[in-house]
Amino acid sequence: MKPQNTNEPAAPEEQTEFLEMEQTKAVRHWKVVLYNDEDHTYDYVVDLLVAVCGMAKEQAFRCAVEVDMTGRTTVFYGNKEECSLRSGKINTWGADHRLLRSRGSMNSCVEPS
Amino acid sequence: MRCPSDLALLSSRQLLELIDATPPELLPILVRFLKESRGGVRLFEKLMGDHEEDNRELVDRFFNRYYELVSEPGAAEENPLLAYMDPAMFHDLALIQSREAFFKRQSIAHINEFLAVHMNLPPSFEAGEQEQAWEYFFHELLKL
Repeated sequence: MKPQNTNEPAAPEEQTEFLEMEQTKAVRHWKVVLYNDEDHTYDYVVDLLVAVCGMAKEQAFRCAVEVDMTGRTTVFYGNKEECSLRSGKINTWGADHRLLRSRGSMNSCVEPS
Repeated sequence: MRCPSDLALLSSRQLLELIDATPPELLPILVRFLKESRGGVRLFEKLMGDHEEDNRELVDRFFNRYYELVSEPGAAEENPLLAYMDPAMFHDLALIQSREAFFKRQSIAHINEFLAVHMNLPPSFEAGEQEQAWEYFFHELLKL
């Protein structure tokens, strides 16, 4: 094991790696949280997450089950602007055409990750 | 087990094996019991196999089976507007208005087909004219 010496300058490749990690953390510092309600079907959630968050259907369905069972699910990670854009689309996606009682969109919000 | 909350006492593996042995017709009932058990996040983690590689096959099988059971059969060739916006709804303007986003997401071919079926001599809209088509449709409903 290499002895730890904080005074020793990091190798260039280590510095690059560290910077990349920090940049990644900054980029994925926010998340979109989707909240459950009883006016939208699993199919609606799957269609929504495929279209808005770019998920595969299988992943979107797992999120649909999670939001149904736990009340909330994280559907997107990214920077604040990307998250706000997706959350805005979710909140204006409209009612679930499969359910007569459905009259509006689901709710989501952007939170620090 | 005496009540739904007892399901939350099972380990992830036990729960997934129970689900795996459940016939398809009873699976939605079992999932409803799970929901009613109020196990919340911890219960969902168990359904995800506690992220153990050994449980992955059972997890995938559960989600695939459940998805097939609860999703509507695919009707890719069907026009969603014709399937879901029945003329019986047309008198309920609040309901129709709540379908605006759904209407505007459809292809212009589907919109033109829908208007041709339900409106008297509607204009034919071009690609990208979803907004104009919606305005036309809603304006026509106001005349009814």
